[in-house]
Amino acid sequence: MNRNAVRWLHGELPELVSQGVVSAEVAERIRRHYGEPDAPGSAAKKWAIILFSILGAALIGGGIILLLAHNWEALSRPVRAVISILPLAVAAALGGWLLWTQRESTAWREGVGTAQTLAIGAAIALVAQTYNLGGRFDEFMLTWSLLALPVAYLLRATAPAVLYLVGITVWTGSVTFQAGNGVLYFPLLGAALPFLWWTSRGNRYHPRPVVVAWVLAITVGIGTGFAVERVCGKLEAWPVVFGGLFTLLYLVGARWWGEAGAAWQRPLQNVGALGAVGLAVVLSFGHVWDHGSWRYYWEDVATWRAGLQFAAAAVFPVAALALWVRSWTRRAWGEVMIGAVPALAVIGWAAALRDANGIGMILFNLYLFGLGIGTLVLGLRARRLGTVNAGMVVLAAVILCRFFDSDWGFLVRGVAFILIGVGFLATNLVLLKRKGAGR
Amino acid sequence: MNSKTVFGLFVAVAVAQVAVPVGQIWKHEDILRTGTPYKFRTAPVDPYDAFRGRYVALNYADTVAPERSGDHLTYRQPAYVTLEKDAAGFARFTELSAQPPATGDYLRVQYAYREGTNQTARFTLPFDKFFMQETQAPRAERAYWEHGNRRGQTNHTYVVARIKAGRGVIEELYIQDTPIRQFLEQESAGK
Repeated sequence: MNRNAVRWLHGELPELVSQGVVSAEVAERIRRHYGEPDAPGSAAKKWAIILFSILGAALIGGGIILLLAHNWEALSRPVRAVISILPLAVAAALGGWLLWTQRESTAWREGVGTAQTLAIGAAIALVAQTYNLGGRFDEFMLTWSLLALPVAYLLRATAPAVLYLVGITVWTGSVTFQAGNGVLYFPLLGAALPFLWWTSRGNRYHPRPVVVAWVLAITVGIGTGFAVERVCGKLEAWPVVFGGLFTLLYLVGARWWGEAGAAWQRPLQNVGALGAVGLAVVLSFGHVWDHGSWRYYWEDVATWRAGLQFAAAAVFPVAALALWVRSWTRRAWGEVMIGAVPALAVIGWAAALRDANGIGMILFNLYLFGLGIGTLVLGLRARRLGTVNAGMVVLAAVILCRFFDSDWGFLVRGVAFILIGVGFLATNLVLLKRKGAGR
Repeated sequence: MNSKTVFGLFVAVAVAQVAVPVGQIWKHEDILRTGTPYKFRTAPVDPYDAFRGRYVALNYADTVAPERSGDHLTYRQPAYVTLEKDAAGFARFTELSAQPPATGDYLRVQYAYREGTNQTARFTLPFDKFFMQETQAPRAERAYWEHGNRRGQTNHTYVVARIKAGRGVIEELYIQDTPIRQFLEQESAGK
């Protein structure tokens, strides 16, 4: 229940009673039903305490890491050994104490979880420094992330989960550059997903699951790009992979986080829609479809590693298409419009493999135009200015891109612009006439 | 899950978290105590790591060895190189193979590429960083370019690493046969 609404209702009740709209008894029952509104600022205070405990722990932990990175030559190896273990031991003891005394305080759990996460990083970094370990940065990040993840589950703390999601993404990127196999990103990602499900069980619009979902939505795009680099790069299937991924994020968000009150509570929809529409704008350019280099790389593509990546990458468009079918049956037109991206990308990609490069470009131009007008109409019908503006932005983007796009000749562009403009004015005339007839 | 189980799991996780650095300390202390020392010619350059601090990256000379015939090694594959010491204590790489040898000192390295048509191949040594105090690392690099790299004197920058069971730990970085920190102290005292 919206706290502001409860506060407003409580403020209205005396007036309603004095005017005889409701009896004093009914007013009392309403008060009891909704409960006392929080004193203004009490929720903010609670959040300030939690955020400050996370920030405090993060700054102290980060400071310790920086101090140790200075590399104190006066310290002997045994002293260094103690220093590397001590912060971790203290943080772990605090965590154990929290669990033993069954403290439920979010501020404590988040603060200790953050401290313990940073202490793990400090410990393995200092050992590497003391013994001149030549390990690569990605190996360091992976060890750190894997050791931190259980803290997220056991202390129910967000910070270790956030570090884990960022850490595995950094690892995947680094491993891919080192010619390693980044497809392990997906099982690693899978290990973090139950945490999101678990923290969102009570209230999925609570800041904790929402923060994890934001980090997930942003990192998954980057991690996937690296993890299936052969499919995206050599096989040139990136339109399908990213179209599937962004659409899947959007549709999953719309399905399970669809009743969010504020925009920041819709991380999957925001990132998904922005990504899908941004991708569609990129795909409306002709030269991105100039495929064919996959033939030269066929030896790199036809390996078990690429096969594994292909199987992993295929999950995104397939899952997105499955959810898209559901959107059709529910007649959720906003979802249907965004959800069309992977289907169009598959057609464009398959055509480009057969050297029909223009198909994808034409499809995505028509799509963006339809999406812009469709969003505009949905916004006008629902009288939602935000949606109307989103439709206008999409239309403006596609028009601007085509105006400056040298893939099309001046003659074609000029004629098309004039025809479309005439179309708009003609529609307006028809609408005005109908309006007049209706009077 | 009841709270006792959660507490037990947390203790197990905390033990594992502490065990990783402790195990690393244990392993590397053992190599430093009981491993065989070798010298490796090197050139230090100065990069930066946000977590672990400043270090000089070590660029080794002559990391080349004859490849055992029949071992089809590929880029970045783990490989094993056998070592011998010359009269001055410098390491000489004798053979690169896919399996660790039964006897003698050896190092686990990363295969790079075959050189030309002969049967020798390049590899990378596992210890390629030497961590130093933040103000010292850039000075170490400068000292190397000023003193260690003169014509005919290239032998004078090297690390001593202890080798045991395929692993190596750097003990010290030397410029002109002087440990680097001592060298830098002498240099600043002389100015």
